[in-house]
Amino acid sequence: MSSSSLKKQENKEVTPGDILAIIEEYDAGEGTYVDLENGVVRAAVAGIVYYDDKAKIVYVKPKKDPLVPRAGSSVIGVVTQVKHDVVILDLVGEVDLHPVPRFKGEFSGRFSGAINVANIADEYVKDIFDYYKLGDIVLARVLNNSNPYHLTTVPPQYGVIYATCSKCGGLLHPINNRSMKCTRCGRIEKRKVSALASSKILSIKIKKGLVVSLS
Amino acid sequence: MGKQPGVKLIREDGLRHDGRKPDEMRPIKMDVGVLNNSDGSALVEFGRTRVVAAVYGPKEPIQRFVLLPDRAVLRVRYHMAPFSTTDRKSPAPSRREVELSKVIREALESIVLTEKFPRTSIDIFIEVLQADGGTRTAAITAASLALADAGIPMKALVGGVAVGKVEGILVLDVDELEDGNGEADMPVAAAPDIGEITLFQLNGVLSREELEQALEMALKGIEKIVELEKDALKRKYERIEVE
Ligand SMILES: [Zn+2]
Repeated sequence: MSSSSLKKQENKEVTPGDILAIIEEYDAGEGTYVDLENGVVRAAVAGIVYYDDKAKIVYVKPKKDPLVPRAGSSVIGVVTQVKHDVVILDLVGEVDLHPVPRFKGEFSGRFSGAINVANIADEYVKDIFDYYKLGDIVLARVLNNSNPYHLTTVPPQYGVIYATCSKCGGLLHPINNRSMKCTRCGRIEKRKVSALASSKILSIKIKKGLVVSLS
Repeated sequence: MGKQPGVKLIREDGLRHDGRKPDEMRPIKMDVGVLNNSDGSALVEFGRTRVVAAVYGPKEPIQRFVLLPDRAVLRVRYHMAPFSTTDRKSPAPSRREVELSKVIREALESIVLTEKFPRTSIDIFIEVLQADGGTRTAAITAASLALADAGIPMKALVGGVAVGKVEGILVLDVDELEDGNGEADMPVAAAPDIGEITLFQLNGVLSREELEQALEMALKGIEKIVELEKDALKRKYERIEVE
């Protein structure tokens, strides 16, 4: 591979294996990898190539990016189990909280996450069932980078965003950060309520039969 | 292997039973994103051989013991649809299917950048809809395309094709008749961009010279196949842009 034969083609469609740059000229960014043997940076995914000439980084913006939970990301999960010291969730997808809450997308597969009793709220949790119940839809933050995922709901924006009345099945409406009221029978239930639970902006549609509308 | 009496595989004019030149592949068709319910998918046809591949993941598998701490696990299921052959096969996985699933996985494992997704699995389901020879190499081609369609990072695209020897002549992209009556069959898969051969098998006997010539034929064919893969992926971008 001689460097003179390599023509930089900005905004070009590339597929895995395509040569994007020689390693002396650009570092390998997202969607690329270093092929040391040939001294080049190649595309790892199908997408559009971009060259950051200031930072000397080449990267490929993928047409499809498999989404998996990552440390620091905000995720939506459904409570599948409540034990005395831990809450287990099926993680559905990721949410961008800034600048405004927005559903980023579904995860590429099924992942489970756990909220340890110490990571539920900013207070001593005497009875975990006063915070979460089976079937609640929860906004949480991921603490680690690989499976099994640990989650926290301590900061105020995290907690239940959607729940139904355990008596009549009606929709629960948030009253404050610790309680929700049934819109049908008026029953009041305890939860760790997300500050975003009443957000009109966050409207989420999730396939596999799960549809959440937070308006 | 071994010729049935009365089967003529090379005609008087030197062409093959279906009119192809020895180094000519069958008409190849490829399409990506053919299934809605998977993360990536592709349909690949070599003549009458028709294979579909679907990719799911990266995901958390039901059985956690299959996980690896530093990379994703690739899982492949190669399956022949009961209606894919003339004699209707049992829908239960045969020994051949289990073996081929392993062969296909090994042909893809070295090119997928599995370290990007530790402790997950990437599942590839391959369904042979119609079998007329070269199903394993068509399966590898389809799986490579489906992985790229799913956005799974990989070193390069992989393509596959088989070279056979019939009536003393080396022929590219063998069909069922040639495979069943030929003297040798050599499936090859490779990633031409990075010069890596990921599958190399030989059933039957070839001389050293024939082997070298056959490999050259296969790699030339694979170069063309991978070009078609790139075209198929780019065609899909255009569709996305229009939407
Ligand atoms: Zn109620």
